Amino acid sequence: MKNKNINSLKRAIRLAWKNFYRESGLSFVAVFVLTIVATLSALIFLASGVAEIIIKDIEDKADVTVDFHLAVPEEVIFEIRDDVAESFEISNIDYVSREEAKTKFIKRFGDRPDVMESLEEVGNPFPASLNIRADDPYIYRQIADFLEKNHGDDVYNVDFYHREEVIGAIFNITENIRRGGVLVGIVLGVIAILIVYNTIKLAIYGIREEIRVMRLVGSSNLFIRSSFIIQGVIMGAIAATISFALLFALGLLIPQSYNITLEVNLHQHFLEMLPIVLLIQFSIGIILGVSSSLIATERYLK
Amino acid sequence: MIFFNNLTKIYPAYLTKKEKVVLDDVSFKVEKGEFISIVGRSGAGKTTLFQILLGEEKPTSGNVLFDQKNIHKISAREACQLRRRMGTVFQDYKLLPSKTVYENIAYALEVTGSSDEDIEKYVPEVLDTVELVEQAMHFPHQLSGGERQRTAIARALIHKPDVILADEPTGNLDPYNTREVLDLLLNLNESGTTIILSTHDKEVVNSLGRRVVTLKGGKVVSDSKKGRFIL
Repeated sequence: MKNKNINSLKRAIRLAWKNFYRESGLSFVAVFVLTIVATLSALIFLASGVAEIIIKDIEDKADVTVDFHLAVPEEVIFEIRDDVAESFEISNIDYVSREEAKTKFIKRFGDRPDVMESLEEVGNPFPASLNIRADDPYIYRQIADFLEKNHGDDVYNVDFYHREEVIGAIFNITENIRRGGVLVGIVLGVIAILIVYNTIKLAIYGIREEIRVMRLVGSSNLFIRSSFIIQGVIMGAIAATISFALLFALGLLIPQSYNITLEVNLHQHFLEMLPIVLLIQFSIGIILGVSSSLIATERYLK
Repeated sequence: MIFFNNLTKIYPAYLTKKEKVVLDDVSFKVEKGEFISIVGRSGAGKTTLFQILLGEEKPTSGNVLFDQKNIHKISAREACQLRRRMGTVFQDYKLLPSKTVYENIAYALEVTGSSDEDIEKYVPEVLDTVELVEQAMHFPHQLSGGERQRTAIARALIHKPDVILADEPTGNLDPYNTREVLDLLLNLNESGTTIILSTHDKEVVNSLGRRVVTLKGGKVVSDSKKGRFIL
């Protein structure tokens, strides 16, 4: 019995392979559409990843800096920091001491002797400050008002009022990019579904006579199903391989020096994403290939 | 062996707005080893009768018994076994165009789990029976109509079936090839295989001189032991 089952599996694989290469026209069309879907899916995945990195980077640049009078002691600033952290949903709040602010300045302008000379004359003119970042840009105004109202004596300056429009614009742009991404995703998804639907129709047309003959000569439904499922796996795997090769070639065209942001290199990012892209392409190719075969065969196995 | 028992098949009304009665209370028996012709004009119900016997269609009422078993109340596994006892031959051959003659015949054994040794043993034997040894590696499009039909008969024979259902097997053939196919069916019948032949060809029916069941408008209008074409 076990030998018979192994024999049947071997036959199903052989039959699937023969059907695949002998019916080359149908196989070509099916592999072609599966390749398109697998490639589109991988591109959407890669594009959304890159877009998210860029958006995050832009959003991280939007923050509010609160400068304190020079005489305000650190303990008071820490209290204000804790007060803000408790009162608002903020993602990050950093304290920059007067010394750190001076060090940063020196790091930036250390190569300009005239600036350094002036600095020596005035000592340390830099105030201690808090850098506040929030996920929701509308909180910034509330934080600024809160500081003005409750800690107005200690706070020297809140730079939000000068940057309000810029911060608003940044968040508007990133929000639009996100919405646009969702829209593009939906459009591409609909295209993918249409392509798969037509692949299924094509598959049904191609195999209906063969299924009828298989049934008439006494083949079991399990054998019929398994041979077409294997054919679906073959088509999906070939489509995924072609699609991966295409994307890999595309990736090689990306200049190695091209950076998405200061920290992220596009070429490097692409290479890091390759294993996931490969997984996505094989999963989509094989799932679609198998489900198309299943739907097509079930129609005639009732 | 086979008993068509008060078989009625009605297709529901769709576009025509009227039900279509294809078989109307059809009853007759087919004994083991018989050669029976089912005759009738196109649309008389011959093909539907075969489809019901093969389990491709369900009767609206009545049933078909094959060796006392109601073929519409058996499991999928039993249905597979049953189909292996029935060889089928069609007017349009139903050969798989992407397979050679040898492969089309071997296919019937492959998909039912026969061993490679059995395939290598039986396929050449059947090819010899239908005189297609030389065309074994040809594809269907490289064969004449008669050769295609003989390939289909060889495929039907490969399981050594108890009964062969031949649905208009000579419909697409010239008189010479028609004779060849009929002789082949007669030889198989001589060796004990039951043959159920459906045809609307008067010459074919009259030349056989065997039992004839005549269908008209889905009803059996005559059933004679040594019948002739009466429509």
